[in-house]
Amino acid sequence: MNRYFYYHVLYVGMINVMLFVPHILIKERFDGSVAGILASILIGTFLSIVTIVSMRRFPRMGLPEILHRHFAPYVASPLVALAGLSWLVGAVLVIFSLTQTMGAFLNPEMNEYLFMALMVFAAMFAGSRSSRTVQFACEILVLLSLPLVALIMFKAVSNRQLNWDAIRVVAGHFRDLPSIKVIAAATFFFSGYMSLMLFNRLNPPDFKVRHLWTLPLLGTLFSLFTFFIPIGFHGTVAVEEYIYLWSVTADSMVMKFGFIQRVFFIFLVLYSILSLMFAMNTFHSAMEFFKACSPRYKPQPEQVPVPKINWILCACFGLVAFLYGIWANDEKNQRVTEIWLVCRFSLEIVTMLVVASLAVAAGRKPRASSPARAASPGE
Amino acid sequence: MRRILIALSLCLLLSGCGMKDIDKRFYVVTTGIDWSGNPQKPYRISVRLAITSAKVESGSSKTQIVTIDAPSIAEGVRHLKSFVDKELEFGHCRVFILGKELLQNGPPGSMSWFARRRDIQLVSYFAVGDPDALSVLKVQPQSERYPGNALFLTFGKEGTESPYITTTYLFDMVRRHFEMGLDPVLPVIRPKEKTYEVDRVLLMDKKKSRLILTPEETQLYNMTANKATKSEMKMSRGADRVVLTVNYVRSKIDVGQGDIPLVTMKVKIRGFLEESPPDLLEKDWHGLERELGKHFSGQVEELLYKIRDAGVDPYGFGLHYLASYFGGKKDYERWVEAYSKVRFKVVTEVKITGAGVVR
Repeated sequence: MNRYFYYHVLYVGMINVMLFVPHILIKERFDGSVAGILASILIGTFLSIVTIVSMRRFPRMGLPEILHRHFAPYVASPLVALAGLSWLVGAVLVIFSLTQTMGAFLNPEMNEYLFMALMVFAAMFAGSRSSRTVQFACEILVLLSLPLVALIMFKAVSNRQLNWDAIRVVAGHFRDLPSIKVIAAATFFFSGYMSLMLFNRLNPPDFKVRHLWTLPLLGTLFSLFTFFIPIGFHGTVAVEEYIYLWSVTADSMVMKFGFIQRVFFIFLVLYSILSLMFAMNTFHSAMEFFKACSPRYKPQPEQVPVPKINWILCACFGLVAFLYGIWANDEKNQRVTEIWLVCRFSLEIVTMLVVASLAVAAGRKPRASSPARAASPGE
Repeated sequence: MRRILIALSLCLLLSGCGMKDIDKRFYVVTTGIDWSGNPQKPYRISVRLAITSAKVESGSSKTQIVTIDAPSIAEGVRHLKSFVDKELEFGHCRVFILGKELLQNGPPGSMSWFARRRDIQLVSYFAVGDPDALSVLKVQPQSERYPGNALFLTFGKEGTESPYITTTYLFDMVRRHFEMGLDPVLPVIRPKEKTYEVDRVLLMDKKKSRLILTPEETQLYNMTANKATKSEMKMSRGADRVVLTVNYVRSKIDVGQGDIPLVTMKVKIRGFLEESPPDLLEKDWHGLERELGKHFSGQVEELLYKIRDAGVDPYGFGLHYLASYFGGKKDYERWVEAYSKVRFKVVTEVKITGAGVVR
């Protein structure tokens, strides 16, 4: 079961490219990004490990069940809805960014709303499945994308055009204090663990996330890679010029004897997969959270066929994505993304505090009242 | 079942997303930008278009060239479309040639056009046309199997691998154009009847071209900056000529601190003698190694001083200086001031592995 947890860590660690995280970090590379990344490694590790360990106290329960168990509905329901909203915004932002990237690079003559419709439709269909199906789909998609990730990583690091001097120059600016925006962006590399808030429902009662030491390791790898490789390719100054930073970085690599020589197209395929995966998971999480706003809702993670409400909710999400697509442009999207990253960061902290304190409280009351209640959320 | 049918029928709406068929497109294989001399329309844009044919054999490549003068590259390309019957496609244009005069007349303001176009690969090759780009485009190499292939092979190292050829990618040129302490380098292409001569490099500062190296210097530059193997070291020894074929070369740069920084370059070279007077190697193996090394160091030092005096930094000494001491903007200003007085020291360590298959 452990691997299902790490799939989420993997794709969230990589999807940041679609959420302007590299761009935000690069913009402040001379004033605080490096320190921000270092700080976020500590913060991200702390947040994720405390939350994961606290969740052990709540076997087979997602965040909605935990909140409803400990708080009155008028406190719990808005909180659950807020968490759902945060997921939804993430999905909408990624769908928009992918549409823009595809429009800019793959086929500029195509109507962008058509591509968005495709993407929304796919996300709608995938997200409205039952939690178990989504979990399995994640596995397949991760397995499909891992070879591509490995190829791009290898191509980047082994490239002779990579300028290590430029990387060292930027790495030298680690003394400046980072802004909150940078820390919020950099902690996103570690956010994969948040999927536990929903998918913990699927885990067996005695489930424990093992190999926790890999979390800081993976996060560090993703953050350093995402931040420094573009600097190595575009230098310390020119790197700021590009909006779709990683797209152009992938375009700076060649496969001399590949079927196609632009690594860029592999990158596009990879990010279509990752974006679809992210959209699927976020649509699904948002949907489950909204459904769980009512305290009487009983989660059924393995329900087949799915109820109509799933379709209705996901269709609404799709509509939101569409409306956002009509309203937003590159510049607005960037600003919204920055705000979202900060909100998400604060929500993560709040979640950690709530879950940790509830876990401590549950630990203090030994067996007096909890066993009777603990049995209820499961079947 | 009905749901699936609806989903499939929806897919019918997705057909024909503005795609144009391959036979309705003109593939640009080489683009040339020249300075026209006319202040109203300073850019002369020429594109070499591939005429597709089923035959693939040497000499069968057919191309067509169209030219226009325009106030900017984007406008020119847009206008050029009205001169041809098919849609221009830059996705396969892997060689861009800038006229020599264009680079002397300052930086083209619309150079960002290349990086902005989504269909232009950031790994396309950039070069300088001498005397101008159009004359390079007009060459029809006889060995070309398909349009534009000759220059692709030249710069891609898939065909010829020569120590005289420098490859500059678009992203590398953009990087060097903006970077602190690292300046652009472009190979120079000179047309010659049915072929190209690519054996020089042009060094630029941030604004315009400064210096063109001779073929000899180009080779030295490529060996020390780009680890160009399959190169050679040569030296006269009395009436005889000693030529060493290099199959391994590494260089390491060290920039010292101090008011007048000292740049030390350590070069390691390994190779075998391809031409030498008989029995020379056996008489004094190490002596010859040392002599070759000293000769090479002298040549490189001379080149480095020449580059320094032209006020350019193609090796990235400045960037390396900043990287070594984690410097910021102030250190860079200090470096720029000191660069004209920098001293160089080159230490070359040569290892001769043998004299080929003869004694």
